[in-house]
Amino acid sequence: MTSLPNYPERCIKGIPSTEYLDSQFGETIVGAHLFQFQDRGNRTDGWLEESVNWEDDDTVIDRTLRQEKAPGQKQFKGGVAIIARRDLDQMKMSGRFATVLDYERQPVADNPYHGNLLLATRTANIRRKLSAAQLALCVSKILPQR
Amino acid sequence: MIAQYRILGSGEETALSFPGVLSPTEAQEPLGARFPVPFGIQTYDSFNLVSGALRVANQATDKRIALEAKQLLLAFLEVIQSLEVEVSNLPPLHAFKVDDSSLLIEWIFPDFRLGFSIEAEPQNSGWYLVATGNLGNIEASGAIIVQDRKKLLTWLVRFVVENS
Repeated sequence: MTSLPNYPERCIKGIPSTEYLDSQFGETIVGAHLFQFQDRGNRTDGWLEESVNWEDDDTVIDRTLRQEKAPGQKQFKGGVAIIARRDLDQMKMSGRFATVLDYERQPVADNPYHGNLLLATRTANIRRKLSAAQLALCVSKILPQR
Repeated sequence: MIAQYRILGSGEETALSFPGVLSPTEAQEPLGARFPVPFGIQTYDSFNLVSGALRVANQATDKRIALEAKQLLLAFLEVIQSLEVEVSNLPPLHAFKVDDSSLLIEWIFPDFRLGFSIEAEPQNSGWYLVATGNLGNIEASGAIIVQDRKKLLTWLVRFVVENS
């Protein structure tokens, strides 16, 4: 997981729909539930995962915005949220998240930039929501879908 | 539906219409009876803080969640009114329907976020406050207990006033 130093400065979280977004004083804001970890039962290592793309080069934001879940159907209709890795690291170093939050690379066949934010499965429900809010607080920029 | 409120200091009854905020059943009784809100002169400004969230709450498919959310938002309004908070520079509260069928109400500021998760099982509903390092990385959370709700909201609103 984060034992390897080969992570770029930012990660990109896709926003599945505009229902995650609202506006406030003319700016777009995102609900913390964008970062709510779901127990999909696809891991057995004690972690829950939420996909991100690591911004290894300057094509990744555009690539994420164009990502399709089916031919002709954009996966992230709401756009993308950008998080600085240093904010993730600060969150991890705060102590409260040291053993329950992590991130990883997980390249997949058609997406070498793919990775995950990780939250320990043992995290209680209200702390999952709190973690989601803390991650939402780390969002530095939201780019709506074009 | 029309709800009757007395604008404090005006000495007269004033009818305010909040379309879509209450279900037809709830609208059978005066809103003031269900949610005794001591509206002051800032009624409309204060109401604007919660009106968008109320609209989303009203669309919740789980009517118990919708009612709990509306009660919470109107209790917020009551606290804001009772503390005579200047609301013109405060952002509105937002409500989001979540995939797990819960409803998330958030008050979002650059350095902190307040949230209320309204769940299908009321004992699972909770609140949180998280803040950046600028505010000392505050992190607090708890259950939403109806009997203590006003005390909790008063504390949170005071936090907002002092740190926004």
